[in-house]
Amino acid sequence: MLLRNKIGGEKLLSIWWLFTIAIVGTGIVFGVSMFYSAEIDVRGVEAEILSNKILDCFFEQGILISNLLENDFDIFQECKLNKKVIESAFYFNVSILDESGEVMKEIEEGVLTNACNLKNTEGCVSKERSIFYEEENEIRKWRLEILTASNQVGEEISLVQ
Amino acid sequence: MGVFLRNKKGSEIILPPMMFIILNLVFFGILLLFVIKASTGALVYEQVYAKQVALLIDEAKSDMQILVDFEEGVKVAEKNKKTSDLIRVDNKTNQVIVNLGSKGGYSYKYFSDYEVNVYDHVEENLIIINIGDKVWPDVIRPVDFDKEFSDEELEKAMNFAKSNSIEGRTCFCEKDCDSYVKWISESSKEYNVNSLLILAVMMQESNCKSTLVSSASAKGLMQLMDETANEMGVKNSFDPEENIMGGTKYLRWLLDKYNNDFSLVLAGYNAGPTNVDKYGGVPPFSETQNYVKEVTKRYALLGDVLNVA
Repeated sequence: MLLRNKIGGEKLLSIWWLFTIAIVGTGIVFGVSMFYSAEIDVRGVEAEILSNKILDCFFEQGILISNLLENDFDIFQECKLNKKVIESAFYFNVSILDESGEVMKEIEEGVLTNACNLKNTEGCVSKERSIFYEEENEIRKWRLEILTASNQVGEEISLVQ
Repeated sequence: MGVFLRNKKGSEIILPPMMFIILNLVFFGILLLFVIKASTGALVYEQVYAKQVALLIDEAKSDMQILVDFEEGVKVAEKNKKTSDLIRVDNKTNQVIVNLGSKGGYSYKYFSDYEVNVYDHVEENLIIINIGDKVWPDVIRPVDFDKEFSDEELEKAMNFAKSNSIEGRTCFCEKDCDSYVKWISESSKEYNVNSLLILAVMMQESNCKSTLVSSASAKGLMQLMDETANEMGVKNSFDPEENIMGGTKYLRWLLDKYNNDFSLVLAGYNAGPTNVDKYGGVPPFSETQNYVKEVTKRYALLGDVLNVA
């Protein structure tokens, strides 16, 4: 709607125009700044890669590696994972359960965030695998459950560093 | 004229509609500039590349080489007048650090526990990621032509060149290899030309065969044309010592002429300085362009051999 002045001309350059344009400008600047300063979230992808990497190193041609159930099994060395980085910014929990659901082996490292309380939320990946093996002429079926999460946030480096 | 009003003194003033349109255009122009600047800022690209490379390292297996398109990153860095050290990794903290010209750059961690080397290859618009200890025969990486090599290193490189094909060339010098090493070393010192570069050029030119004559009548180890040989004081181009000395002297002359720009030096050696001057750079001949690439790559590979030997 246009305002008219005393002689009936259209008053385009009014305080309302300035007000509108200030609001539009502020909104766009704020929105664009927010959008481009936000972290690009790749935590879900990282968690997926981590779970695949762990599963890959647990199985050799589809067979569970023999030393996995041993007490001195070092997941960081076996799966080529960096302990410091995992403990500071990632989380994983691997459980091997027998037919009755009893946990035969559990490996847990890193810090679990609230985001993973609901499995498969952003930054968390949960998977399950069946393990078949033969014992005393009987085929037994165990289960492997894995939950991985990434809590990593990137870092802008300041010039002072 | 209808669009102008006159004030009391009779001078023209612009009508409000005109002002309104101009101010609106200015306003939206500024906004557009802001959006473009924000979306093409260095920090956005630093974050994208740091995360992309970190994820690739996480997903990779040992002894892999990964090449990543870095064209946009190079453009952004050039805008910010940054031409080197655009990307690096810190193997102690497992961080990928990208700096395309923002304040200090952006870092992101990878969780794989491999030895990782990352190079930015600005000329090829590539990021090269090497996972593990494997030495890659086809590796492309920034080349340091100013590096100096000892006689022992030159000998090691020659021994490798004798029994391996490097960028399609081998040194077929057999019994004479030791003498060639000696003469390359002497000419390198005499004319202050990188010894490994002389070897790389010699392999390209003749596969280290001292009796070779090309279809263009270039002769000997460094494939000197008669005219060039005369200018360089070479009497017998088939004499290996004289030929190496002459070829090295010619390289020195080209280095001085092109202010140590090695691409132009190599292009000049292959296509002649007249063509380099004519085109104001590496001439658009595929033979010459390949020549520059191959010699540069061979030089880098010979350097790699010394690093792992």
